[in-house]
Amino acid sequence: MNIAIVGGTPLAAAIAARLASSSSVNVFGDRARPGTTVVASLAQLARVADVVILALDSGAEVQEALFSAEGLLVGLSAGKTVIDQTPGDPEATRANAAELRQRGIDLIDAPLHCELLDALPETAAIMCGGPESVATALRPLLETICPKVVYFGETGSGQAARLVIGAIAACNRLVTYEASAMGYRNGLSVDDMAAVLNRCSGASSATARVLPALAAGGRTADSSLASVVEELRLASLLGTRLGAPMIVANLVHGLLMAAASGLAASATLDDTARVFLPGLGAAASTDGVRVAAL
Amino acid sequence: MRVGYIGLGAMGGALARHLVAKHQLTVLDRNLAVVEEFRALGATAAESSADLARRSDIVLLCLPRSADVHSVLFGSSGLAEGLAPGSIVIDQTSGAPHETRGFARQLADIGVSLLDAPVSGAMAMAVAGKVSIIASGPRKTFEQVLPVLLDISPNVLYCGERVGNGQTMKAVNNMMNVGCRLATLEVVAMGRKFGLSLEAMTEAINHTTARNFTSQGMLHAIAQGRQSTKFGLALQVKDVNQAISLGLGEGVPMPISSTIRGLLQIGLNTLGENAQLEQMIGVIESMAAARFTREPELAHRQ
Repeated sequence: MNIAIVGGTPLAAAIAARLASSSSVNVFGDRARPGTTVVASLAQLARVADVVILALDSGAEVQEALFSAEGLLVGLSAGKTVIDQTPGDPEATRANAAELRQRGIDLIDAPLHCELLDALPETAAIMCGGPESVATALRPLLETICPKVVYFGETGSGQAARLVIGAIAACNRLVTYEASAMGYRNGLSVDDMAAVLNRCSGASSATARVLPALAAGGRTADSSLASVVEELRLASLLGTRLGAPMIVANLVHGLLMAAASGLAASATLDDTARVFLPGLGAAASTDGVRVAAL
Repeated sequence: MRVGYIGLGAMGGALARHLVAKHQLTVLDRNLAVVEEFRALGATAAESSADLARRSDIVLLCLPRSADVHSVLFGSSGLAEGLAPGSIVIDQTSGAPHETRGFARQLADIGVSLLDAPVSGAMAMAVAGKVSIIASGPRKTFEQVLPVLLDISPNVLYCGERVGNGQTMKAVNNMMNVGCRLATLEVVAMGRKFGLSLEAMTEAINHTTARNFTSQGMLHAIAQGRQSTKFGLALQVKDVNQAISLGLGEGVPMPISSTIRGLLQIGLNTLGENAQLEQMIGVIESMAAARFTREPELAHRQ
């Protein structure tokens, strides 16, 4: 199968790497990567490919790539398929799909949630929306990118599901930061909290990944903090549109926005620990959790 | 060993049941029907806390609040009247650590040691003997009572010499649990309003960094029409208040915890003092005008 990947994002690079051994992968511009073929224009990219994967930074970039004067639409013909893996607004995705449908082109939304692309496919899933027959036909391709693919229904529902996932993941992390700051200031070491909480009902993906990384150093996220804040903005907008209160998730959005304003543009979620857990790593006052039995 | 247990409520009762066949157990609770159940299993019923203390070398407590622990220890006919020097009190209450440290100092004056050893886990885990016991206090005392704790569950975690560390850890754990719980429910409610299925969301959540104790337990239970918690909402509010007060006492901002407290308080005020944590599922549904299991009535479709 001839695949085109559009985008200079880390996600686009990860997708290209996962597909290069099983498909013929074409890319555009100066984004040549091992096992890929560079094509001169977006229109040309659309002509050579059966399936075009969009892995861009934002919905605005998707619009530009699809519909600009020399965009993909110039080269896309009826029967081809676009997979939009760019995180975005479900409404915008539906509008794009409707536009392409008029020209006989299918679009499915299949955004990926993965906080640490270096670790792909661990702790990651693709949330898929669009016509079921198209999604079923493309499932093997999507599973090559990430083995866990969950189909949600009509176009846009993959985007909506990704916003659900992103919002809960951010809440897990900030709840963990806030509660462990309380524990730390009350005399518990981060090591001890990591040892105990992962065996108790406070356990989450954040206690499993973030607490050990706080104690020992190491990365748990490589996507930019700005992209996470944008994702939470879209989740908040969707909640507003649907009439869902989203009280905790909106607060977490606000906290991350405030944190981002004091950090460098290159900051990731990991860097927010400095804001929410200042001075961490000073004294560890307990003498180490012992697991008494086992 | 002569063991006493005071507080045979939902959690304390489940914990004490593991001791009845293995020790000479004396029990005390205001609920005489539960005491009678324990007598039928071979335990002795005490007349008062002081009486229970005289019949025990180790006394375990699992009470609603630190105030209850204070009155059982130091009230009229309290434990302190009957405890012999060298005996040990194990407080399994989700109490306030600084108050527990105060109790430990008072008991030390009469030669009695105190450990805190609150537990974490669903009721089913306590019944199955798999609950996590989070203990702290003098190491020598901990080693003395470890066999008794291991009779309750093999998952015993020791958090250091300082009395109250176990309860601080429990407060951190409770805050993480209920914070992630309400966040998960409110965001999933939004997904339901969009028209996403609960099952598909649960599957995706559990394969990503959105995973937490609630997504792995309560969301499945809701889909299957099962109950997954058995915990009074008033006690949940107390636990969150305690966690917030521990944070604010050390100058730690607790905005998410305070918001969670507000949501739980709305639930408690709306449902009444006998409400259960499980009923917060319905509170979150009605706040969002969404249903977790049925087709959403206000589905947003185009």
